[in-house]
Amino acid sequence: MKKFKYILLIGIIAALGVPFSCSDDFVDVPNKEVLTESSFWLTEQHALQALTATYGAIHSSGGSKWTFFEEIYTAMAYRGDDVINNTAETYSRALASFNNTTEASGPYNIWRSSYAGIGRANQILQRVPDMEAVAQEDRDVIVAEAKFLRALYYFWLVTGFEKIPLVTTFDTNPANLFPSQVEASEIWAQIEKDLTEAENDMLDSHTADWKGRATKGSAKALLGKAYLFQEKWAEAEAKLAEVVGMDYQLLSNYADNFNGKGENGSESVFEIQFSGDRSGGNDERQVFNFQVSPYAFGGWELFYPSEWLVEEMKTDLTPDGEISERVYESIFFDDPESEMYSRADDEVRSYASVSGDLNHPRYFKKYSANEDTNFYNGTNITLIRFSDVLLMYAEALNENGKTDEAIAEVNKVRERGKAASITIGSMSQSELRTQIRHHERPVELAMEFGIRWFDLYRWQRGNTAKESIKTTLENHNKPLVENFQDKHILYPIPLQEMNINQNLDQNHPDW
Amino acid sequence: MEVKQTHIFQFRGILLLLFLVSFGFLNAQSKIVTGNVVGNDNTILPGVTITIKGNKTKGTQTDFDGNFSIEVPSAETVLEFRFLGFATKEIQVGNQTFLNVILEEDAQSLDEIVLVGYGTQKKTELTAAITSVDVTEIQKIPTADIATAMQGQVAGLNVAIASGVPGSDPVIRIRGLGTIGNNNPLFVIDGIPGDLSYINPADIENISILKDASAATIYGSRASNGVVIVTTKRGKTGAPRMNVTSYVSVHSITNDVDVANRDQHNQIKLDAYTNAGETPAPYLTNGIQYADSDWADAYLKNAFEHKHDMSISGGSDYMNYNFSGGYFSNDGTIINTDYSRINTRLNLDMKLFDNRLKVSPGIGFTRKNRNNFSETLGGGNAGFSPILGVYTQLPHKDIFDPNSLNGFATPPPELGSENPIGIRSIIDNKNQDDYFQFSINADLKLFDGLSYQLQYGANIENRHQFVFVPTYDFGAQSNNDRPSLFEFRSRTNEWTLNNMLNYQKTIENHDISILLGISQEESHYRSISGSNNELPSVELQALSAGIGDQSISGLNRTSTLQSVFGRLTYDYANRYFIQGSMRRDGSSRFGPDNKYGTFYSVSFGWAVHNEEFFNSKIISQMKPRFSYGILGNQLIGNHLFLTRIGSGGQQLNYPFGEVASQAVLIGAISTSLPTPDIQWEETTTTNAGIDLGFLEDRLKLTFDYFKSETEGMLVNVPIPSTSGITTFPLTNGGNLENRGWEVSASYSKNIGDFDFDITANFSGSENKITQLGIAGEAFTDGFIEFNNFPTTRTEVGGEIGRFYLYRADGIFQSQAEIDAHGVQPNAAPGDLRFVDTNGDGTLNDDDKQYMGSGLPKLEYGLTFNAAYKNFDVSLFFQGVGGNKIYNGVKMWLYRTDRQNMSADLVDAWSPSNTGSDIPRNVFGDPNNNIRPSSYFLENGSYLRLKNLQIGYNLTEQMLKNIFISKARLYFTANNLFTITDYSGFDPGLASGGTFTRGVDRGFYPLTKSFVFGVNLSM
Repeated sequence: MKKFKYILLIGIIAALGVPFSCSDDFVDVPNKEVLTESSFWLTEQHALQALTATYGAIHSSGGSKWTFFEEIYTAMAYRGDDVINNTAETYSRALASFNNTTEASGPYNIWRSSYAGIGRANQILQRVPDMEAVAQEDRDVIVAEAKFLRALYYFWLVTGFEKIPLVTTFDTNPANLFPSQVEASEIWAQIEKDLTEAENDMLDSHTADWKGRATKGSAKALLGKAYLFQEKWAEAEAKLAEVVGMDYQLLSNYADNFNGKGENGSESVFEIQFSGDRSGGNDERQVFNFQVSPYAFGGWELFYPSEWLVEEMKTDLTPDGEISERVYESIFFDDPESEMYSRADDEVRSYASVSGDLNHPRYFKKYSANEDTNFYNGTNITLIRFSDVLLMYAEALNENGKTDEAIAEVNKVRERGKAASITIGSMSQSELRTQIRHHERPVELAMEFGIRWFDLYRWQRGNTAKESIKTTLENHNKPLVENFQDKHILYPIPLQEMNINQNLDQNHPDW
Repeated sequence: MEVKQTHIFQFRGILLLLFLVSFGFLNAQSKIVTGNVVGNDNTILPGVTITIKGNKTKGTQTDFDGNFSIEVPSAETVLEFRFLGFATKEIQVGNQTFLNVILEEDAQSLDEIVLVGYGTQKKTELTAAITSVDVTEIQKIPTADIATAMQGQVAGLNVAIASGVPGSDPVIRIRGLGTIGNNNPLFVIDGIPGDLSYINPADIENISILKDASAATIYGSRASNGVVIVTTKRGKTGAPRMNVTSYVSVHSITNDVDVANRDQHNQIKLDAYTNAGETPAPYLTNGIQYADSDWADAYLKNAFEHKHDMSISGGSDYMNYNFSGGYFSNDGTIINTDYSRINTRLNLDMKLFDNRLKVSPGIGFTRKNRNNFSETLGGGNAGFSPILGVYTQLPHKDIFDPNSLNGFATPPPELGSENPIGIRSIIDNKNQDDYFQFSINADLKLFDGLSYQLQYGANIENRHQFVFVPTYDFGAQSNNDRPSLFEFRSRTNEWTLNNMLNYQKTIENHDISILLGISQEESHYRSISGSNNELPSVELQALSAGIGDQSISGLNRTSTLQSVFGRLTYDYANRYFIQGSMRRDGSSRFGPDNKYGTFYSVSFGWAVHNEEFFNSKIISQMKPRFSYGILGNQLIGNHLFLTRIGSGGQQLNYPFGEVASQAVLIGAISTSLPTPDIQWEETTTTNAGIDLGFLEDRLKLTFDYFKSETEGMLVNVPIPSTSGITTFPLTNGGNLENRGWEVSASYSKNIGDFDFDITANFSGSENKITQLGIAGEAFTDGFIEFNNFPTTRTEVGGEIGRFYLYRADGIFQSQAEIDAHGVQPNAAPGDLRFVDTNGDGTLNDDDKQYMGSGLPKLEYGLTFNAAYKNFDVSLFFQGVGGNKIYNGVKMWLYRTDRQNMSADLVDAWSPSNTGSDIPRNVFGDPNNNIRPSSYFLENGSYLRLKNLQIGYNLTEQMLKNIFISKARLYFTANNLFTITDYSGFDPGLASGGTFTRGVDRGFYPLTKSFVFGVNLSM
């Protein structure tokens, strides 16, 4: 009897155990958590998602607005003679004081964001041409935009670091991921090749839903700029002339370039897109309105126009001898006519009415308006606008000996900004060169993304009327310019990258 | 008590002698002796083993009433009474036929049985490196967290308090660092893997730390970081007993950092501006129109902590029970950071079928309530520490403003913005986490030493967090224009099923035991979170009431593990011990070709003291041990072997369209590398040790030396960003060697009414990277501020996370010195001199040098217990040596660009104060004095009196008329003093990041506390 009971008991327990007996299925758990390659690169939507992600790297490798504005923007802008930083804030301060080390995070973020964009473009170039589910013409456009973006990212890199690795494939074999550097000329050749190939297949414009994607004009303008940086004056003139011949028009109101009203409009050649849309947990907003605004207006005043810039701007006059509209729309300064939008009060304030509350005598006011929300907002940041194209075109014309034609282009920009025209024939080639370099470009394009420092850089590196950055900065009273050494012409190759890739060499022996 | 007993024995001995004289040796033949065995508190003791000394084959056990009956060969026969948890007693039978035996409870004898994986072993039979924690000792430390109580108590167990936030988890490392990947040990609670932080220390019966391969192999792929096994208290047969323990304590912050007050701030800043030739900010010269606030003082406070536990246990012939409940609360040393926990547990043991089947269910429930405080503890891109954010507030700013809506002041624009006390006070960020544990164990004796065991356990963790942010405006970058709400819920369901066969047999001198088992585990996690960025009013706090943008997200993860395992233990005549273990694991975390891994170990021991040739009066125990084995690690995410496509989120999304607020489109693309071949991380460990006992084991010594080699460490391998990826792929990316030693010693003695014991443990370990990454990449980490100021570097040939810094070499006294030095063009007198170590004429990264690491070379703990009559006292010292700390707090507070700075800077170098070792105050820091350098690296050694306790046991006289059998009152002081050269908050704080150990970014400071408690038994 008793034995029977135990047998029964063992039976019950064994019966419990059997359903749990080992089988390989138990450790084969289906993936319910992440998107994988087996379900991607199949449809047109996938190709467009990949392209969206490639554009996304413009906002930095991690997509954070803070990395973009506090690291990348500041690292590009703070060394220029048009901007001085608020020294109470640490962002890129070491760069601005020319005592940065190889550890500085701004250059590292430029480096890794650019290469993230390049890696994403390379994925598109490898995958999209074979996606038969996508119509051939759509594939061509996507591939062309990927090439444009790859060229843009290489442009950032080569003008910041010069000798860098050239990566044109997305390789997943780790052994192949430790490249050496190539000469800057090879990078420039790749930029030209990509843009030349891209411009043929790119669209003249995109539908309303896709506004903001790069167009044929974006590629031509960037290619013209690339020629300019290499002093290929003839090619630059020809390529920029193509852009000038397209449908672009300067906005009649200069300020509309920075207040959200002219977004992706007639003057926009290529813009970095931002949006105030917060649905679905998205945050693609920008913070320039806070960065430029005075404390007194609820801003953070991270940086200011330099005293030199303001004095130069004060010479930008209307035919009546008044300060021009573009100056009033660019800076907030001690002038009876100067006024600026205050976030805190949600109204426009005159300089005189707030001067006692200001922490600093001069402010930028570009991007201070709020078109969509009165907080971080969705105003786009221009990367190439048509007035920049005109000024670059003028510069090329002038270097090609067509000074009078160049003055005509300069005048288009001046007139829109309500500044008096320059009389044709009134300037020599070298006078116009100086006018463009140290008046027209800084006055028209002050503080705009990736402009001024890189102009100084190309005039330092060029052979046509070479200008030492240090001398320019000294002449324009850049604070702490006494710290400037030869190595500061470039960003150091980031220490964190050097530590990982032993095939890299520092780009200057003093780093 | 012990002494009294001895007298009785002596008395009995004399009686016996009388009997022997009276009856001569005529009576030398077998007889039956019966009797009854009770504990010293009169509880019946069933299951006491009674054997005849010198003939272990003859024996019996007490029945459920504590009665026994045994045939003894003669009056000279000595009976041995053995029972777990009680001192063994020997009684010579003499002419007695009925024995009333009282056994004394003995904490020390608990050591004799040690928890091992899936079972227990006698300590004397151990061949593996296992430490059984003295639970009664650590339960003396009043705390809600058992791991914290174990700090310094076990050789080779490193418990570092990562944060002083109440309820935060400490960092637990067994034998140093075995990998640069995940170093967390496995926790097994009542046979089931689980979360130790939910377990009430008062409920714990036993803890074992499995340190070497031999001990841990039975847990196979999860054992390479060691295993901590915990069992909870179960009932003992007898009348119900109730225990109540309770304490109250007050915590205060130790080691305050001295920051500048308003006038000191003005002086330092003016000095800094003058030295830089810049115009000072106007607020510095506006004098006393501003406040002089002490932000830290308003942010920190004394915390009140109390804990109350109650348990009732008892049992009958057929069932034992233990029920407990507890409450803990600590209201935090930072405003708005309280933590509370309730626990309840019921453990039952039911005996069926003539004791053949024992069914033991256990149910536990824990709820944690927490007011969250987030600190950046990990490695990588470190954020700012909130505490430092408080220390650096301008004293000029007001904290409170009775006229503002929320009562907190908004600074005037010229003083910047922020009010961290306001933010801390008005944001509601709470967690309520529930943990439910169910386990059942069924043990069936089959026949002839063979038994079958079924174990099933389920853990359910439900977490809920909500964050409500009201509108506020504390100036720039510190405002919120509309109330927002975030909620998060998650549920983790884990279950484990073990089926085991145990066989135990003794044939003459051969002792053999075999364990065979199969096991399956599944863990399933799902979460959902939602937010609404605008609520119509601060009164409404439901997501559905929101009128702004909504967002939702959620996760769904499952992992499984199935295993077969076995262990064979054999000993011959208690002299030669051998053990072999094996486990084969299959894990869902690896790809089809790599799912299975096999782990094994062997170990040997030789009890020299049991050899016949060994005859020493002094050495009572001598047992060398040796073990070798392979362990695994699979602490990684799921489905990493699939080629992932990153999708969505801020990183990949991008807006397109016409208007300012255009639509944001989803982006998707590869952001990392596929790792289809990802495999088990394997650690091969060799351990050699010896257990020594002297003077009848009054002095005990254990020594262990170990060496482990880890291959295929699971780590995020750094890949150059030129690859285009933005997430380092997690894969098998390096090899590591770790070696170390451990010594523990204990000594106990009693002299009359005075008992004392001393235990000490020392350990050290050292690791070395032997292969790293794909191309020998170095890992850079230890950032002080976001991506800036890296302080550590890890590369082949060296230790993990070594400090890699410029060498600071004093202060320049003159321009001539600067010119002579020649490599610091931006320096001025008063700046730090940095050494051009390679002498190449430039000061750059190549001049950085390795300067030790944050991992201690030596860790030790010392416990001293003494008892005199009803008083007892214990002292527990704990310390570490040979480690460095990078004082990031000092670096922060030595910067004149920060809002506020250290008061030390008043004494900075100046032409009139050239003796100072603090570099000059200069705005903009042209010489980069704050660069990562040896100037901020300090010796992290310390010795701390962690715990001092004085107790008093109330006498029976006092308790006579109340229902209390035992009462103890105690007073404890925790962290009473620390001897250290470290100038920061607390040398005992260590960051959780493997590469950032010893980098002090200003964590929540440690507290000093005074406790009064009472323990009652009824």
